[in-house]
Amino acid sequence: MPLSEVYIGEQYRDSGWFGVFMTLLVAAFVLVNIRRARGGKDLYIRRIAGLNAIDEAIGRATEMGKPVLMVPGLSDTINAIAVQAVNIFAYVSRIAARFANPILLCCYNAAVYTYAQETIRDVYQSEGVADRYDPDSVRFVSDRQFAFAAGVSGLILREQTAATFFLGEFYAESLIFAETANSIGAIQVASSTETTQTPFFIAACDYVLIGDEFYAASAYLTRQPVLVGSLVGQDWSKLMIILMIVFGTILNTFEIQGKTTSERTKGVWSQIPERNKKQSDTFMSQLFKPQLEKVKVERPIDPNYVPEGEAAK
Amino acid sequence: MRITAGVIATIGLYSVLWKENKFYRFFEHVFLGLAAGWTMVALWTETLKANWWDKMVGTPAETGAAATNGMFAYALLIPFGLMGYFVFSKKHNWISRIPIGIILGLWSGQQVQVWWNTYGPQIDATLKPILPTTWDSLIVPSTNGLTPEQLSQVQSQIYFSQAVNNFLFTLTVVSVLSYFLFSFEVKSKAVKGINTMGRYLLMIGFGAIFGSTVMMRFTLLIDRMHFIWIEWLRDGVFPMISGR
Amino acid sequence: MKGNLGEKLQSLPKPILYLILILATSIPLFFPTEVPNEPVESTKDFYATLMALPEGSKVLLMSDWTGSTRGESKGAFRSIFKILIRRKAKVAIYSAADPQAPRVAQDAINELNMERKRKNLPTFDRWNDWVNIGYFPNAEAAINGIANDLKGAFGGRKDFPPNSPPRDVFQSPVLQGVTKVEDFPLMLVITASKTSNFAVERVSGRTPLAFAVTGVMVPETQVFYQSKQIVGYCGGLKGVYDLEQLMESGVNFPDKATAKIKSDKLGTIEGFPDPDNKGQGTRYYPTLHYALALMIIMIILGNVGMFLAKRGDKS
Repeated sequence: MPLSEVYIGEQYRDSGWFGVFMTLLVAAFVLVNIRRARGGKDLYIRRIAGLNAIDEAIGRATEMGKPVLMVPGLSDTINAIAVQAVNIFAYVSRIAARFANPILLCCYNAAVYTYAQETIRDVYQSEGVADRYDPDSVRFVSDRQFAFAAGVSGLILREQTAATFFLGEFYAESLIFAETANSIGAIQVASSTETTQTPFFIAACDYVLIGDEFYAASAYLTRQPVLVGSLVGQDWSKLMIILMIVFGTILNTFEIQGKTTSERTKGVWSQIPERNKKQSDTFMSQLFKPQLEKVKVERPIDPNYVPEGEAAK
Repeated sequence: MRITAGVIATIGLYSVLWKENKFYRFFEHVFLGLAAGWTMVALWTETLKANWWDKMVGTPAETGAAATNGMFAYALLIPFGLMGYFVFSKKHNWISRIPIGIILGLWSGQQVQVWWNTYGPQIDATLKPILPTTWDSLIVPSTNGLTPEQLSQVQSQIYFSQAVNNFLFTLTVVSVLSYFLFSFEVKSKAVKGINTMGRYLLMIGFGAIFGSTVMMRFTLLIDRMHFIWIEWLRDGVFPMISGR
Repeated sequence: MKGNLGEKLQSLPKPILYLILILATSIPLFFPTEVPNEPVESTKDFYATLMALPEGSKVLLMSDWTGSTRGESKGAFRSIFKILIRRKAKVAIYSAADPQAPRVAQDAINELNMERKRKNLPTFDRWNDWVNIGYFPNAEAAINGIANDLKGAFGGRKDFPPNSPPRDVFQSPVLQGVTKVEDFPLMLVITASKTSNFAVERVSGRTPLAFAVTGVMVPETQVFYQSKQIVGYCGGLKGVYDLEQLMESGVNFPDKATAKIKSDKLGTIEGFPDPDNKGQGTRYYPTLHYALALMIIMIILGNVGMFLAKRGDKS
């Protein structure tokens, strides 16, 4: 009976043991810090300029008696980015609810719409002003990119919003939103998890949360132990990567000065004529590259087996 | 004919640049309606039918293709889908959280799985040597007319100019990363300097992105202009009028 | 208009600016010129990868562009198919970004086939040379499915053989003997959205990846190229123009001394001179220079205007 070679952990085959190890380490950092935060330890988070603008923006909207418009990005499904954005909007809505300021939250995706509807209603209830909550203030606009852009721009112009918040995944429509809101003089706080769109927000908005500041925002605003703990955990991971880069660069710099007579490909060493060391010969590079021979099992194959759907050939 | 319709729609949508007008609104609504209609059809033909309905009821035998068995377990998905609609109920809206929790959980699990596959090789590629291996020449010498052996010798060395490049690269990565550390109180001046440098380097990067995006937007405009002037006017209308 | 020159410069009426822009992007289109160009490394690698495919290779292609990025993506799509047809490749096409994408891809191939027919060249036939597997909603989950269980993901999908009702895609010559994503020697992604990131996350390390992306995506794609997660990419209009020039002259071809496009890293790669190589890239690239020059002038004028206005205020 013929044998086939099967690697254990096919899904992680591309990463190798080091990848799995690093992933677990990052997860451990986050868990440990959530525990620390739950234990009542006051963990430090530095000030983020864009976030202080939130209160200012809502304050102005209240003075003018005009609505605050929020868009939690154009995520295809509900994901951590959309949830994160809605969490920040919960904070915004809380202040708006206290001042009886109208809000508008425009959704691109049905699941995000459901989640936002739920969250915002909870906010009004917990503030004890459930009667002020207008179910129409959380809206599903469209799930086609430019139809959504046209719909939201229309809303901004008709409602003459005083403050707008664009937080989450934004793509080519980012500038359409930002320009429209800019043209009516609204205060804008924005952030896109898509690096390519951040420049447009920087050009057209008053305050921009760059990159990871977006993820730090809700931890900073709410101080919930889970959020603060994961933020600190992520920081530990980033610090680890910085140290790894510094250490690895120094190590590689000295290692590459030498020559080598052996080469390792797919976990197997072989003798070669002497040559200068390449980056792929260094210790760090070997560590990062998955070595495939690690765990291998042999399974028998049934020679009579016909895969489904090929029977009719 | 088809191209003419396209040209009218293009002019209609660009006319908003002059000012908001009825012509533009008409084409905007046509566009929105078409998109919505297309999505409705595609939702069934591309998503529900292929991924769910056909798998649930099976497909009959066709020329050359064997019939597939239906799997009625797929019907169990209906209640999960319907749960989403409970958001409209004031009393039972908590039920709508269940399918969302499931989707969110699946998504998060996948992110953990791909994290290293995406960033591992990038970290590895960042570990570049920052000292030259040779001082024969400060910059990479010209490779014209070299034998393959000499060429590979040149390519295996790190020259001073490359080392400087690599150093700047590593410095950029580290300073930008350190800008995104939120939970460490920075007191030392050196670290603060690195943070500030990270911010400036980020801005330079954003400028480059801005530039390449503007370039793309221009390309799309040029494409539209080509569509109007060349494809429609020069190659479509003009030969028709001149009777060629 | 009141105020000094600086304020005038800053407050040019918008319609006039748009008119100048339209003229700058239209007039040069009527006067085709050639711009001196040195293809970038990434496009050279992209071209080398395609040309290194053995004849008859099966290629998986994720086509994720629609009319909204026609100006860049269509040019890339056409050039890539011209090369693939020359390599006699068999192409499995699917889309994960937009329900319209499969139709757009199909139309683009039909257009190529019409041109080939006019020149009495063999056409690139649906079912025998390429299959349209269709659109997969939820790009991330779809690409994960394709990477880990290709049979399951494409199972049940149907396409049209010539003059017959639709049949299971696995019966077409294109997918004969294919059971997993590793069976394709190359996966191509022509995209205007972040589905290319998903491909890197799921498929890199399993089978070589090569991208054709829009101008916006060049900075993020360069990262994947530098870390060798993808073998090459063709970015924006510049990439399309590079690709058209590479098709025309090859690399180090016919020999290194006389070649128009040289490379130390790559060996000799054939080109195939043909007036039809010149497509969208060659047509639009010179015009882009006029548009960019206009913008640079506008930025300078705007800044000079601001400077003058400020000085005017002070005095």
